Amino acid sequence: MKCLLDRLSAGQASDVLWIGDPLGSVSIASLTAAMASIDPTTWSGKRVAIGALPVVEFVFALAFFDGLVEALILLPAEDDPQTREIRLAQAKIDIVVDGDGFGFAKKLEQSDNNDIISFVPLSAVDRPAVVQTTWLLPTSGTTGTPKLIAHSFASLTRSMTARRIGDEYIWGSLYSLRRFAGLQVFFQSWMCGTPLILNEDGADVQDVLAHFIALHCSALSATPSMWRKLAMLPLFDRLNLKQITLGGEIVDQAVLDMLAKRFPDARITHIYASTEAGVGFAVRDGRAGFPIVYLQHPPLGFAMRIDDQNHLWFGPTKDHLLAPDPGNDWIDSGDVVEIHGDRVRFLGRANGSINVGGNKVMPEEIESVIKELPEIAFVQVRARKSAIVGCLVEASIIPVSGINMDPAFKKKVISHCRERLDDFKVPAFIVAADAIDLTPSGKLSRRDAE
Amino acid sequence: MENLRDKITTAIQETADMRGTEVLRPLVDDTVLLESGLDSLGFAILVARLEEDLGYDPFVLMDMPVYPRTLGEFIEIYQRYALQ
Repeated sequence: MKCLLDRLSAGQASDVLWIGDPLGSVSIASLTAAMASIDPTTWSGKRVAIGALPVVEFVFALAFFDGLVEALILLPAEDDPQTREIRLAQAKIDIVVDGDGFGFAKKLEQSDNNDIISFVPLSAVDRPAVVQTTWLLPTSGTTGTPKLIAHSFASLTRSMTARRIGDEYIWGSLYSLRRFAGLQVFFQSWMCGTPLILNEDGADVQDVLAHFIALHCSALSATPSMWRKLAMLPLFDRLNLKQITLGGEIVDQAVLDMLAKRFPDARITHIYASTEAGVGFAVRDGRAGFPIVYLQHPPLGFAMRIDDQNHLWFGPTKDHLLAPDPGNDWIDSGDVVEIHGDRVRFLGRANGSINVGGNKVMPEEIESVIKELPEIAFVQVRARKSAIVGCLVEASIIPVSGINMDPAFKKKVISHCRERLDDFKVPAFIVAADAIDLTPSGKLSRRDAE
Repeated sequence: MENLRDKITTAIQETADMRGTEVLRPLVDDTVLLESGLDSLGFAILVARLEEDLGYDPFVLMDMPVYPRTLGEFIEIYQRYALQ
């Protein structure tokens, strides 16, 4: 398999690819019929950017462009014009697709009106020989110069099962499909022939949840922060999930336990994926982190090692285990880990640490400890500036309903942290969070306290 | 300015409670801060707590850093910046 369209030959014309408004179900037949009506030569070998598009046009464009264009960049919706210009120049883009894209929705509507779906087999869709399209994905970093990471169909699908699962599941994505995490969901559902429910970027999470319930979404992927946010919504209990996936942030034991309790019949998978390294793997044993044996026996085709700064590195192939030369081929994931018993556990991002009097503190580690308390619905740890020691640790908390943020409760949180953490990691301040602030890719928005 | 002294000694007590340390009694002007039951991190937390309570942090406001040794010097710094 060299590109997205290759996958479709394994499916049937009536297989549902996507479910979205206002189209309902989009089948392979509808996709190939629309594709046959577009002249691919205009796009062949070009460098293309995908700008603002309705989500159905967006996914159509991905399927159309992969294997046809030289490079494809997915512009984040929240880019300001200046950042966008920088990205377009960086990627040497010829054409930007926005507006209504290829008018896929219109084409579908017309074919529905005619009440005839003339099936065009994939082999009859006229396309030039497949090229390896370079996927340029903006990193999720919200500060500094925008960066692009190059991927390919092969690298994006390397860790995915291509086993045909079909409509046993209906997938939903809570991330923007433009982001690495959302794209993973898009590719995974595509690769296993499972329908994906489409949501417009930026839709209200309550509406998205109602959408999922109405369309019988049974498989959902989200960041741990997003799962916690969902768990606080009354509609959450009406979801009927068979597959639960977590990724994009460190997955802690508390969120795994919460999901296992709420959805006892669901299979729970947590994914570690690195945009930098373009790799990922899944863990399904219900425990946070990953088994230490992965360091000797990697689950997939790449080697892993931990350097003396406790950063996790990836080598391109397993062969590197034999000669672990930390040369150019190795990529620093930027994730800091620790070995704890038989597990490798994630502590946080190397560049996200809080400096307390010269000690590096990973906010995620402290969050993970605070989340062990059953009274916690949500917690975010951040830096508060201090003229004396640089930064102090502040924990911003939303307790579960029925619990007040009174001094006794704050004291309990601090005592718990004191038992479990080094002195300098214990929060100096416990404050009430107003709201859960997530980034477009569903991650906790990491900013300093004001 | 007794009010300020009370606020500061109360904040020292609360900070020490939170940090699980004992405050040396009595707290008088000659009490050496870092021997009063607060280490340097505790001292930083004390200053941040007082900023919440009083609305200013003299250690941010001062042009030249001054590090008070005793409680008396510490209170004097807060009094000085309160007047500005």
